[in-house]
Amino acid sequence: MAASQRLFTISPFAVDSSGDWLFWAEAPEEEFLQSIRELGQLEPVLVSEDEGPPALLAGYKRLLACRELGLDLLALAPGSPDPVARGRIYAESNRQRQLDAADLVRAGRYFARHLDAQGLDSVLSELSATEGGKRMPDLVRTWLRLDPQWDELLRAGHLPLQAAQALTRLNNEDAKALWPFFQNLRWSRNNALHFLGWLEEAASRERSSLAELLSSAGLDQILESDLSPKDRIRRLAQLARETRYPRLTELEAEFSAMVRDASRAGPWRIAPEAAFESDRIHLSTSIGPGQDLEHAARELERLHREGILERIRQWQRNRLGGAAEEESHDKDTE
Amino acid sequence: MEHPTRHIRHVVADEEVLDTPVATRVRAGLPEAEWHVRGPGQPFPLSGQDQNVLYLKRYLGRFLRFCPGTSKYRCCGYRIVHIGENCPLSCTYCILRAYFQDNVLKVWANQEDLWQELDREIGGRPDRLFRVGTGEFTDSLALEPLTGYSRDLIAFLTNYDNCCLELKTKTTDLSWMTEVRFPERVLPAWSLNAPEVVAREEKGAAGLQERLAAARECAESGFRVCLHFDPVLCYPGWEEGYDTAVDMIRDYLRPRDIAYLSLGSFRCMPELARQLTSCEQRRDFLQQEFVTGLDGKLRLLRPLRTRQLRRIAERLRSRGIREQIYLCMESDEVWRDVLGYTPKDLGGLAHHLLRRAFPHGG
Repeated sequence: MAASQRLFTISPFAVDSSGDWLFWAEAPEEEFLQSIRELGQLEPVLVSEDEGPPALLAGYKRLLACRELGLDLLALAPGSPDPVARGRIYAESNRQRQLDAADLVRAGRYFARHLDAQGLDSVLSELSATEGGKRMPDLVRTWLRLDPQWDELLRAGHLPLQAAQALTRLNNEDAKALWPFFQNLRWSRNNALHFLGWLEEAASRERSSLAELLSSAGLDQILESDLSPKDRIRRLAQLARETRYPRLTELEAEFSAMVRDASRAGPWRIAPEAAFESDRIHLSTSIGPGQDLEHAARELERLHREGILERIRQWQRNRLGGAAEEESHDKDTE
Repeated sequence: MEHPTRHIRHVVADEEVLDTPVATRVRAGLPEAEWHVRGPGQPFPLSGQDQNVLYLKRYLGRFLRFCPGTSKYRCCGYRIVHIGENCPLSCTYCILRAYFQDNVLKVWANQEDLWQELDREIGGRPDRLFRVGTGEFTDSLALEPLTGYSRDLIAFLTNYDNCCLELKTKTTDLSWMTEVRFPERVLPAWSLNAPEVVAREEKGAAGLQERLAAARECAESGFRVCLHFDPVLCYPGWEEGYDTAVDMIRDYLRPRDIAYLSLGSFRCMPELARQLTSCEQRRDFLQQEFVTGLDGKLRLLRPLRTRQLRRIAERLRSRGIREQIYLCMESDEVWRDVLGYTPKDLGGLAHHLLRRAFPHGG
């Protein structure tokens, strides 16, 4: 390849810049244009020597800048590489680029068309050496099983790469039903993964499709509500959790309602054991310098005197001992 | 039932254990297997073939251990005689899948070291009773036709009248019985489950009727048996499933044949749940409301599992199995709601089970 390399100038309009190996192609920023305007093109672009017009291999921004500024293009032709080599040359010439998950997916889409699974894995490992660690190639390969339309949501930061595992398990109908929930909302990684996991598990338990569940649980109504995007995400995640854990969230709501007044009136926060695993309750308060310790002590005494702690005990006996489940089961089977 | 050792194609043996009785028996029992000798300090010679390898190891750790229970829940105080790791059966819910780093079936073949430690620990404390078992990190009897390990252990413990050995299994191997001189000090034990759970989740294990028939044979030979409903799974139709299993127990055994019977709701490390969820086949029991327990493991939400355990316990009681019942790794709250008392009322669970294991004292 090196023997045939030659440096030359060419009109930027004579170079074909539509090759699909230019997977990270972006228009030049103003600073870049300014640099070319002032200093000229310092590095040649790479073009192929194919039959017909030369095709751009690397240097998309320089090509567009020269077109815009009416300059001839300085080019180097390293021969006519095969499709895999074209992708690798392009990636190598963008080595300084800080790759994110969407970049890896775009490169992955290209290489997946030309490489087997092992070859793809090897290229992805190279590309992601500094990004995301050892799991990244696996995550990207999983994402590549999705319809490419999801790529735009990844690029826009609406959902994380890790969501692919759940999304690839969906059938077309469910994926289509879920799309609007990510189309206009930017989900954090944790929220997105919990949301997907809870919905998938709830649908599986109910033996319904995810599309049916989104409607029957009222999630689509929240999506169409006037809430702010942040509040919509919060409410959607909350409702998905309630759908997945109906008994747990019911108990949490009952407990919160029971202690709300007591907590509001005084400095003490009353919380149950995590997931109600024991009858232990946690009382906490904080006292800053100069604050009234005696007041907190009096309030604690009041909680005891007014029977709030005893009411909690009574509730625990009624609700955590399984009797309520038996009653509810008996009603269901009547 | 196909024998669970049928998949073994390779035997890896540490050089130091090549001439031990266990290695000799395995060589005779697996004439077709390819042998690989591992010298001291050498790397493990096989990789990526976990499923069909048996590793005869010179084990350097402690053989007699405490059950890895947690202080957050009530542990039965069982002592483990550690004879190997992993299991040739393929129960989907098995915690060993997540507990150990690999799936290689391992047997500690340096039995002389085991005997020395047991003599020191058990023989050295004749005033103390020991309830020990081998079924925590592996099935006690799945490899018995190949290794004869339990026969050796029974023979060794014959002279230690302060020790009661529990052999917990899902197989029907009874070849060890002829070695027993004191049946009151050996407790054959079976893991039981609802018939559909056995069929769906316990591939490679004996059927429920076969297990109970083996238990009956032991009872008829003068042994008391132990039964373990563990893990109790929650799935649509569990009520009928566990009712059937309880009724089947009474078809095969009398209450007095049973030394003790445990109920343990399914719990697992989060890694196992992730592994099971990523399997193609749907697992109904994982779709229930699992929460993170006080020990970091996933468990069914307390009111749901309390209801389930109480129903099974009531069915057992109605069939005459009462004081034998205990709960495995549960809180006092669940004990009280399921059984009406706590381990403290029994003088402590470990102490209570020792009394059940040694009804006439040591």
